[in-house]
Amino acid sequence: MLGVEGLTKSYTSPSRRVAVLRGVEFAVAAGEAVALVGESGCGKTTLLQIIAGLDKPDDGKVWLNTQEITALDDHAAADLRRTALGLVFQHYNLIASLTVADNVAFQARLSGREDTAWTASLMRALGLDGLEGRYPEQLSGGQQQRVAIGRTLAYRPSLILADEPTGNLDEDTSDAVLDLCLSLVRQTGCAFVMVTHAPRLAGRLDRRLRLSAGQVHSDAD
Amino acid sequence: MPTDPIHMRWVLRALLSHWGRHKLQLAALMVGLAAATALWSGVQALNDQARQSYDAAAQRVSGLSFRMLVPTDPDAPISEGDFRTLRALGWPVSPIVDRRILIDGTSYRLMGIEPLTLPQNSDMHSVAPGAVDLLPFIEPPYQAVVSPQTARRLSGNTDLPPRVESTALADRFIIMDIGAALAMPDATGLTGLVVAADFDANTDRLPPNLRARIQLLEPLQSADIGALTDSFHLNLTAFGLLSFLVGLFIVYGAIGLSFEDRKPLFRTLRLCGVSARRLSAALIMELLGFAVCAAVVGMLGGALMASVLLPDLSLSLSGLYGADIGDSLRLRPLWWVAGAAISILGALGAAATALWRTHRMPVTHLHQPRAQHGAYARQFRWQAAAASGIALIGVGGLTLWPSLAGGFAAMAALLVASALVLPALLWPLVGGLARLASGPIARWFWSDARSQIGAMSLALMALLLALGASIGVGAMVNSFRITFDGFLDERLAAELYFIAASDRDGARLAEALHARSDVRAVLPDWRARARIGGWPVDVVAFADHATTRETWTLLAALATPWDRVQAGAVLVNEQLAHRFSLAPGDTVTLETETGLQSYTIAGVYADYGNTTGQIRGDVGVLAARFPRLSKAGFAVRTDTPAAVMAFLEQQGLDPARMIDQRQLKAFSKSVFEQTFVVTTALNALTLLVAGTALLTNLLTLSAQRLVSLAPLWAMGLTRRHLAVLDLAKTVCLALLTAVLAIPLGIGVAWLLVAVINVEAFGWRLPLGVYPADWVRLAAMVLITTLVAGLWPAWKLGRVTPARLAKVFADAR
Ligand SMILES: Nc1ncnc2c1ncn2[C@@H]1O[C@H](COP(=O)(O)OP(=O)(O)OP(=O)(O)O)[C@@H](O)[C@H]1O
Ligand SMILES: [Mg+2]
Repeated sequence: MLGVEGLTKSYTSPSRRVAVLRGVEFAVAAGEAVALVGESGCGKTTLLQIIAGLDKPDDGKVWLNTQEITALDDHAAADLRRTALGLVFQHYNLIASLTVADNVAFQARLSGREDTAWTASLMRALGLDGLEGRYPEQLSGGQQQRVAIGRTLAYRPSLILADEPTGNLDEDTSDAVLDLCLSLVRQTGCAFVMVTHAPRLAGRLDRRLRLSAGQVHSDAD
Repeated sequence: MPTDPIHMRWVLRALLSHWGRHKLQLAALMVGLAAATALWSGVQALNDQARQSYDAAAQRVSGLSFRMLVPTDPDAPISEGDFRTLRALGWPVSPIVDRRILIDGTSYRLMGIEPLTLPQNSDMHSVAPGAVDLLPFIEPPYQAVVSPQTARRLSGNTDLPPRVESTALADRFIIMDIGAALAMPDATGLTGLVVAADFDANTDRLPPNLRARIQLLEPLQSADIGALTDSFHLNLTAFGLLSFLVGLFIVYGAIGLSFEDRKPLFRTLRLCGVSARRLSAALIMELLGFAVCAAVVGMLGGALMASVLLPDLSLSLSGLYGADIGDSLRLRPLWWVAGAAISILGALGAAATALWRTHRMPVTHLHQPRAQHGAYARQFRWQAAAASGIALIGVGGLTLWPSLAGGFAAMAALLVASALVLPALLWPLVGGLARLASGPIARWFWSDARSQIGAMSLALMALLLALGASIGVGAMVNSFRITFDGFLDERLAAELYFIAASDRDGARLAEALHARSDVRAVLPDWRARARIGGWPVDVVAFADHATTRETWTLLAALATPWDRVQAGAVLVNEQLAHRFSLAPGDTVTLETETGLQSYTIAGVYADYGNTTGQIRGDVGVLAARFPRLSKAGFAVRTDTPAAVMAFLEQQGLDPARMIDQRQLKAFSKSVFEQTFVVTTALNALTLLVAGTALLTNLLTLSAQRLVSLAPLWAMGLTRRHLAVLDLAKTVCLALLTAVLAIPLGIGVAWLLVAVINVEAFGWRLPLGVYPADWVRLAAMVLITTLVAGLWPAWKLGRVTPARLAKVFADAR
């Protein structure tokens, strides 16, 4: 499903050049849920951004099924994100001027895949019922994060990329959210990549990918 | 992989949802755009209407004589056979009937024309009914073209052909085909033959039988009001442009702010799969929607503004002529299209940089904080550098490419550069005041004011431009008024002007006037035409008299110029001197029908409003050297002009051939007064727009203000005290901006009178400086900022202690 080959990426800060990714290789199968772990600043977010087509690598390729994401231009990459990818990032990516309900439905509506029954069940599962009419600024950090997850799950993408989706949540809520994600993976056979610092959560997934020194090692190896 | 089609309406909805939660930003955007459109289209509508009215009115005064061939003996009129002979000889002449008729006791001016032969560039053509269909006009039962007012007067009349209305005509003016005019019951034959203005009508070349019976009559030219008002219209247009720029500045600010605020939204949209291209398309669509709405509102406002200012204008004109010149605004479809176009182009122009930056925005790293202290200082230096560059381009362009377009471009460069450099000037200025201040509050006051410059810079720039435009246009209009009042007094020094039907008739009337004891002098105003370097110039012969010696001021002259003119030198007008770089002492060579003639230039005189070159010389000298000098025009000095006019009419002179100079002067002055009123109103409106910018700016800043004010509150200042300080700070920044606007205004005025006017009309106005205006303007700024700052300050004074305390909670 997802294939990453020889990915390299470096940033040029004013003083020096930092090689963040140095030949990252891994694959994730459909229906598989993997955790991406590594210490802070090792390049996890950078890796997810490249996979999502938001950033270009210096070298290497990313494949989604038969499509080479790294070869797409901005327009085609955007179409791919809209129809196949679900992103949840570290900083809540909600639309401040839309209500919770509109935020959750947003991406599904964008692709004409709105399914009100499914959305309603998501709202309930995420503990967001009763908050539909509120605006993001009227929510707590954790509630906002759950809205972002809801938006992604609402339109059933084939690959979910989540960057610390549970960073703001307490243990119980984290577990509930993860349950929801995993049930979707089982239901739809989508792939799931989640960055997390919590070993307990990482342990609940099928596999762990450790990013260190610019390379990825799977704990299955 | 199949991709579902994107549903753009959700993108638009997400974009638009921002405005629902930021209504002030939306208001600033719409007000800016609508105000810009209103000011621009209002000025255009006003200009259009005023021009039509002036033209119609001016016809009464200056349309009274045309360049034409007339019979030397009034009792032996030119026949239609003569006309055909001349046409066969290749002369571009057209028959004309121009006489008074009485209908029900009211006198009308009847003009019969032959539209097919009427010279395109004759003065006559401006009164010809261009809008009227040719065939019904020239074929029986014919048509009588009249103004709507005249049509009402003549509604029951059956002697005249069917009426057709034209707003281009003055009241009591009837135009019909020459055939219809000659078929009138009391017709007296042709008045003469109109000759194209640029045709070399040398009657010596005619067959002897014609030569003896026909002479060329050059029109009497007094101050040409049409050309003079044109200059005003140009300046008004420039002012409309300035107001438009001020409005666009507000739009630019509002768009910049909304794009900055929506950066996270843009990023989210991109993450959700909206490409940069689609996002830009959606933003442009949104902008077009706003622009169209604002254009409609703005143009209704512009039409309203013009119609409010217009009654004054038509009132003064009708007072002058007892005629209704047309007090309803008539807007052409083109005006609507142009207004909408300018609104849309303006919005897109103001949004261009923000759109471009959004298009190029990377999706991955968005969390740069907004520009702060140090960043502002750097940004100001950049702006100052850009301003220097733009100013340099403006100056360079003007020197390399001195033209009307170059003048306007230089003005735009001056305005943009001044706006950009403003914060860089205010920054050290306020910093210096902070250092000078004694006492902690005063010092805090100034350093806080300085930290506000960045956030307020766009509103302050709009204010600077509004003030600069006000000062500049005010100085220009004042210069205009003062110069023209003096000019009209000297140019129209004689009480009465007339042009006889022929030279012989003129000599007879002058003779008769000499015999009257109430006539102090009868001064010839005789005309001929010549060329200099192919350019046509009017030659005017005048007699040495106290009237000219004592009242004329020369712009440049040799010593004892009047004596030199007596001795054969000439005076040239400023337009001619400007065109051929002539100065007193130079020699000017005229191409005349009898060969080249050279004259020494004794002086240069101002000739505002004239569009052509002119030279003036002594009547004795020129009469000898121009055998075909048209000798029918005279100026009369008298204390009883009414009695003299009655006498001349008794002597058979058509009243249409006389000008009471008081009437002309009054008309010219009323033109200036009206434009003055209009300009003052526009000034106030522009300032109002700048005030709105300031208000919206202050309101959007108020949340940030709490952060810097809360510590002072914690130190024991009351909320009222803080509110007053905040208002004072706004007023201080605005007043400093006003001071900086003075040199800008002088620059704008200089460009208007010394560059744009010279390029457009060939003459330059002396530039006056009017400090009284500045004081008035400073007072208006004070009022504007107080009004704009009062509401935000009032809100600040009433903010709850809890909200102030929350500032500290958030900082933790
Ligand atoms: N635009 C940039 N310019 C220069 N360096 C960057 C840029 N973005 C990221 N970096 C650097 O690249 C490295 C990887 O960053 P990244 O955000 O991918 O780390 P991360 O693994 O997600 O860390 P965290 O767990 O804290 O979120 C960091 O050292 C960061 O400082
Ligand atoms: Mg990260």
